[in-house]
Amino acid sequence: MSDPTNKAQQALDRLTEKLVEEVFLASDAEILAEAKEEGRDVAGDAARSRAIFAKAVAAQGKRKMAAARAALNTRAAPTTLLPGRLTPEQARATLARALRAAPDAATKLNMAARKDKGLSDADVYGILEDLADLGLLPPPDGSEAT
Amino acid sequence: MIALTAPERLLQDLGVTDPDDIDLEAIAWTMGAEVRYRPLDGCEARILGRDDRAIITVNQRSAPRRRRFSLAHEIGHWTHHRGRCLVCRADDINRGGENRPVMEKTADRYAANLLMPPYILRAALCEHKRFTFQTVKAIADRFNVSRSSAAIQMIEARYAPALLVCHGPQGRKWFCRSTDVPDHWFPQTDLDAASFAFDILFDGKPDCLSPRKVGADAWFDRRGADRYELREQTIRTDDDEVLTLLLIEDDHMLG
Repeated sequence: MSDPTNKAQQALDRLTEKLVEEVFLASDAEILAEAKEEGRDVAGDAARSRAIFAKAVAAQGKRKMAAARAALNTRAAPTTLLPGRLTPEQARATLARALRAAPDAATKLNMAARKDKGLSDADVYGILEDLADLGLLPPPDGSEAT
Repeated sequence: MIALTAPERLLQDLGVTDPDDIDLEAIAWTMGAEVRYRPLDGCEARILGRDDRAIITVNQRSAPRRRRFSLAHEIGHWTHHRGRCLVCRADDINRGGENRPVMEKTADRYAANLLMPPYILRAALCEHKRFTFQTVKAIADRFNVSRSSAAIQMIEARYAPALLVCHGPQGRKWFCRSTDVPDHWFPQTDLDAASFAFDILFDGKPDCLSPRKVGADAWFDRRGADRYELREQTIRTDDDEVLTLLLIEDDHMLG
């Protein structure tokens, strides 16, 4: 035995689908003309719809921003190359090899070094740490690059 | 309808409706860039990138608002100059001047629109009636930027027909001009003794509390400049630097 409530719901769904389909098929001019005929405030309706849409977009965006903040608060600690692991000379040699592998980066870093007072030992260690975290640190001197 | 800049679209996508919402580290994170702070000796900030991932490092020793602008500047590089390794000196970031590399100007423009998005700035400016350094300070505090950054963005937003000029003892360092001021109003390289800026920079006089009338020929070495007056407000921004706001109110100068 069929459920009469369910039957009525299905009929209602078909009617809704039909109405929505008609709205989608109608041109903007037809919809505007109909709304005006009914005495509706078209500009007001449009402004209210835009405001609702903007509010929804903003809420979604705020969730995205909050998720980013939460993710970066729990990020992994950056690599630390203790100066004891590499002498300043070794660190500079490692950086030079890394830069040879990326000529454009080399140009920029060398330019910076020329124009300013240059890269200090601390700067060099810092760049190596960043390169390590990006997977750009070359293998130790003497071993083959993979 | 006013077209949005790239940073404005980004901020709207992230639901930013108030200057306090502009969380630069989180914004960078959504773009694949991680932000680190450490003492830097050879530069103000740098960005190292690989594919879609980058690490932005900002000089920990700089003042908070300077750090903030530097970070926004590097986000600009990540947006426009991806695939390059960039090291930015202090002079590359948020410094006026025509002779700077185009890439740095692009990153500065991006940073200004990210920190002071016009769609929020316009509403904030409506709360103020006059273009003065008091208004500039209020805007700078609201958006957590320096006074010069705020003033430049207000000039760009055409808040009023005006020029912003920065001078040191060696002469003009940089200037910017709102688009409604004709190009022929080009400020002199050296300060004129008739300007208030001269007294403040060289004689240690106090800052101008409000814009004051001065002959246009004190600022522009151009035939006919002596026929006009404008308003000048100058403040000291460093031991050897002054920043001047020149308000053009005479319609004949704008025609």
